This record gives sequence, structure tokens and C-alpha cells, in this order.
Amino acid sequence: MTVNVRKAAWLLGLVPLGWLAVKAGLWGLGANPIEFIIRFLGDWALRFLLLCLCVTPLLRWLPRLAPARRTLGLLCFCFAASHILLYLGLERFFDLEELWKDIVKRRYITVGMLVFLMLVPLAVTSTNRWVKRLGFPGWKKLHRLVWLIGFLACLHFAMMVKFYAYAEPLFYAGFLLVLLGMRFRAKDRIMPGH
Amino acid sequence: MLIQNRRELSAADVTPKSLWLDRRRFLGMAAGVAFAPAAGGRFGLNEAQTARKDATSYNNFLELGESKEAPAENAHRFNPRPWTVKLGGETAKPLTQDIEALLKAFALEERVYRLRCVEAWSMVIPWIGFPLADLLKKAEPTSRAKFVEFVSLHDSARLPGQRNPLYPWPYREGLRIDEAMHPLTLLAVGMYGDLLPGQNGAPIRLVVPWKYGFKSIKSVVAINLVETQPKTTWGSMQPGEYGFYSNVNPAVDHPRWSQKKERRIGEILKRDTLPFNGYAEQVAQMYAGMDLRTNY
Repeated sequence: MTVNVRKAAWLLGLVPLGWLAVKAGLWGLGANPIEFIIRFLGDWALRFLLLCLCVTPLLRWLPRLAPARRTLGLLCFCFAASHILLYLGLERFFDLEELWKDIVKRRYITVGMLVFLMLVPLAVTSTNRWVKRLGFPGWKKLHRLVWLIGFLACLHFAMMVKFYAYAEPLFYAGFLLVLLGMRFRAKDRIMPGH
Repeated sequence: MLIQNRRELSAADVTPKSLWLDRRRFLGMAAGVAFAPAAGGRFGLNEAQTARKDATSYNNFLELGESKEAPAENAHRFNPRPWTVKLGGETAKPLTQDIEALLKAFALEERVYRLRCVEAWSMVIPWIGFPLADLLKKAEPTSRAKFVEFVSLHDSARLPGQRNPLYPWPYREGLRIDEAMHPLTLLAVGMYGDLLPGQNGAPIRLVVPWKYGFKSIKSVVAINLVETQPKTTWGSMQPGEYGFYSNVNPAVDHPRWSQKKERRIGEILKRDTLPFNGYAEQVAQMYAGMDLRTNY
């Protein structure tokens, strides 16, 4: 059963990619397909992060979902990594000097890079072996970074759009706040019993 | 040569009759004019033209929606008739002209220009139009006319994007008088051998090829000759990001992104952006002695 949930979660990762392929084949990706793909990957990295954070509150009713959490987190990392790779290759041509200027000068790039740098240790320590090595409390502490990552990702999104398009990043940030609020409420309930 | 893009549907199948009658007349007229050839000639350009489909489906025209695709999707709601253009302000002979009369009043030419968007993408578009100077001269600007202000149509029934309260509608732009009188500055009424589609600023728009695209105001209804530098829409909303001059300049970055390179629509890798969008030879002398970093 565990295996199936995990497999299903990985398959979920193929859904946006499949949709991208269908759209490309049937309707095309518009006049600026590179920009479209880079933004598409960024959008889905953030969406998988939010989906991943939905798992914990759902465990009360659907405990079998637990293994999906790690997979969804890794999917977020995979989409974020492809988002950045395409940006590096097709927007900055792997020109490190230009890239460094971008990171220092453009705040939304600075924030985006920071988000990715914080995602790396979470992806690396996602294995059972790393949970053991860090000890569960230590591992958990490290992985609380995910909240900072989530809010900074929304900020990165909001900073790059034109000012009339704040609705989508604000929606994600609001969603994230609700999920965070649920964690605090859950803690209040559980703590006295511990 | 002009009707390059044959379609399976005729214009009559999708367009109101009054419009396609106009179009027919327009094409008839256009065919009678000896257009400058697409390559070579005074305003020719030896660069591949952007696919018509891309130039008419990837647009910034907030009046018809906020995404790049929305203007083309909503263009059917925008009927560019009836239409009049008012020319006034510091002129001896202010005039108000119906679009039909305007289309007949000037010799139309094809001009293939680069279009460089401030968002770091670019296209090569064959416009059809006439020099703005031809129209301005008719109104006889007075010596007090130092700038030209342009105003777009303000009608949220036809341009539903104007219901968005975040913007100070209507869209406004401006040029210095010498920029407005420059032979490269065009009032376009068509592109790709056809009338301007709604999403590209029907029925008449400005094209200033050495400036970022937002200077080339769409769907113009008023042109005013004025003494002081007019307020522009983006300039008043985000003065730090969009200056009055907004000449294409790879050496001056937009605060949020580099202007050194651009993605030519249809290409994968970016290419270098040229000073004044490649028109330095024709226009740079107008800015001699000006600091283009402060006058961005």
C-alpha cells in the first residue's frame, strides 16, 4: 500500500508535464515558449510545495497518505531545479558573471536563489538514513525551513509579476498561512496530552 | 506581395460588413501604392520578420486583458468603428478627422521595423502607415509646440480592461516634438498587409522603433501639441522603472532586469540589444549632450 501511495504521488508529478506536452502539441506554447516553460515549472514547484504541506493535516483522516509527503516535497525540488536550470541555460547562458550580477542586483532573483539554496538540504536529507543520522527532532527542526521557503517563494513570485498580477502569489501565501495556522492549532490540541 | 497570409475563411466570415468593406478599400488602396520592399530600401531591414501569428497573439494591451494572450482573445469585443482622431493644442489649424478620411489622406507605406519591448523580447514587424510628421504638419504646430501628447480611446464597453481601477485610464504617451517629427516615427494603420487587428492597436497606433514598445501607444483618439512634457501612463505609475524617453539602451538596465539582451520571438537564445534598437544612426543626434542614464 505504501508503495502505491508513493507511486501515485510520483505519477502526480507527471500530470503537469503531460499537460505541457499536450498543450505544446495541440495549441503550442505561445510566442515565447521559453518564458512559458520557465514560469510553468516555477508555478508547479510552488504548487507541489503547498500540496506537500497539505499532507500532514490530512493524515488524521487518511493516515495512508504519509509516504506521499516526501514524494511531493521531492517533486517540488525537481520542478524548482528544472526552473533554475532553464533560467541559467536559456536566460543567462551559464554566464556566471552575468548570473552573479543578476543575483546581487535583482531582488527577485536573489530571493529565488535563496529559496533554491534552502531547498537543496531538504532534498538531500529526505532519505530515511538522513532522518536517522540527524535524529528525528533535529531532522524535523531542519525541515521547518519549508515554511520560510514557501513564503519566500511567494515573495519571489510576487516580485517578478507586474503589479496588477499579485492575486496568484497572494492566494498561495494565504493558503500557506492557513496551513501554518492549522499546525499551531494541532499543536495546542496535542501538547497537553504528551 | 501584400496578401501573404492566405486564410481558409474570408474576412467576411468573421468580420462585420462595415469593417470588411473598409478592409477591401484599404487593401485596394494599399495595392495601388508602391510599398518600400521588405528588404533594402530606405527603411528596409534584412532580418527575418516575426510570424504574423506570434505578433498578433503575444501582446501587451491592458485595455483588452492582462495576460499576453488575452488581447487576441478579447479583440472581437473591440470594434474600432466609428473612430475619429482629434489633433489639437498648440496648432494653427486643429483638426478632427474620421479614420476613413485619414486612411485616404496620406500615402501609405510599408515599414519593416524592429520592436523591442521593455520586457526584453523583440519582434520584426511589417507595419503599414504614414509618418506622424505628415499629419502634424497639416495642423501647423505653433512655435510653442514642444511636445506631443497621445491619448488612447477611453471606453470600457469596447475596451473592457479599462474596468480595472488600478490604472489611470485612458493610456497616455508622449514624445518631444523633434522625436514626433522624425521620419522614422510612424502612425500605423495596418500590419502584415492587412488592417491592424484590435490586439495590435486598431485602427491607428503610434510606432516609434527606437523606443521601448510601451511608448508606441495603441488605438489613438487624440494627439495634442503641448508646451511642457506631458504625463505618461507608466511614467506616472512607476517613474523609477519607465522614463519619459525610454530609448532602447542596453547600457541602462531596468531596475528589475537587464536590458543587455533580448529574446527575438521565434528564437531560443537571446541576442544582444542594440543602442536605440539599431536606429542609432538615424536618431542618436537628437540626444547629443544628454545624459541617457538620467534621461532613461
